[in-house]
Amino acid sequence: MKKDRLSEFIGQNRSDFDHLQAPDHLWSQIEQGLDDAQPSIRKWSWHRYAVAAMFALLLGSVFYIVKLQGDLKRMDDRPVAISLEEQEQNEALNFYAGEYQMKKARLKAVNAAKFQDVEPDLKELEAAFLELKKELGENYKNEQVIKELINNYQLKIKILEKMLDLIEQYPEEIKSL
Amino acid sequence: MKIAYKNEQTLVEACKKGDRSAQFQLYRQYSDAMFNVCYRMVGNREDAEDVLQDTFMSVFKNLKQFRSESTIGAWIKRATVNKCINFLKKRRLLTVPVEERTLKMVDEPTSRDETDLSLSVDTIRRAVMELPDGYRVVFSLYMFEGYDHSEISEITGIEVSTSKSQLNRAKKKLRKLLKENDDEKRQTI
Repeated sequence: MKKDRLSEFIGQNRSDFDHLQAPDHLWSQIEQGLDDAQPSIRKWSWHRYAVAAMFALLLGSVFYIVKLQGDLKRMDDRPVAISLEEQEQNEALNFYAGEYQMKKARLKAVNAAKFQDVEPDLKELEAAFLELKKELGENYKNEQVIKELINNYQLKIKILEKMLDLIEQYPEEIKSL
Repeated sequence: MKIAYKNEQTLVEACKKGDRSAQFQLYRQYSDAMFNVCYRMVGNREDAEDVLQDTFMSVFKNLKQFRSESTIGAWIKRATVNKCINFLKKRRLLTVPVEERTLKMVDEPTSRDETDLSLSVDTIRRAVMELPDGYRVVFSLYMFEGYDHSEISEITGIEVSTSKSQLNRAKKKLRKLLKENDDEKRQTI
């Protein structure tokens, strides 16, 4: 197609149409913008590291506690699994009650000071046990409550056993504590 | 310290690494031409400055994406044009009338009195700035920046047929403005 006169004229004089020059101040603004856009490397002060370390420690502790509880639960679940029937559950309760009293007396005899160390925890668990027993009085056939009572006994026994094991394994160290 | 770069490729590579003197050299090489592109597209100096600044910021930030498939000049020009289009769209200046979106026009024949028009760079330049935004953008992209209608369609998002009709209407309007300018001159003489 034949070009019109206007198009021809523009084509022939194309460079003359660029008559403006970019203002001088523009480069400094661009440079400033590029500097601002560069990612800054944040230096961590000591307290940032301290907070991070504490957070990591806390996270580790939580993980450990959760794992420990999981382990205890798995151990505790075993006898519960075989005492689902009412008779068996009562037998289990009687068994653990006897075990608990026996271990408690033994620790008191072996090391009264160490018994006092664990006593607050045991008392707390005993208070919880009484609460559960109240609930059982109202709802005697509640399997879940019976399981919780057994769990309560097992936890108390575990604390006592752990302390007795420590005393047996590290008698000198325990004495010096 | 001024460093002379052997060729455009080494200049671009230095710019990619964030070399500020190389970036300044590239800016100096293309800023004037791109400023004229911005001015014709957005229609005034103040906005053209803002768009040019935004363009070069973007060019340096995204230069790693340049793969030498085109020249760096063409790449920067496309970036400039895109920035201008985005600017106009944001300001809602780039609007195409409804009839323009649907109407398919064929090239209009050259008007009979075109031969009588006195053409000069200065009068055409001024008349172009008087065109409505939609006409001016298509006219500038086609006549000054050298894009064809399919490229204009891709850049602006309008139909190829609309680009063609906008160009014809822009030319027609431009001739009218030039003729009015001629008539005014004759009257003053």
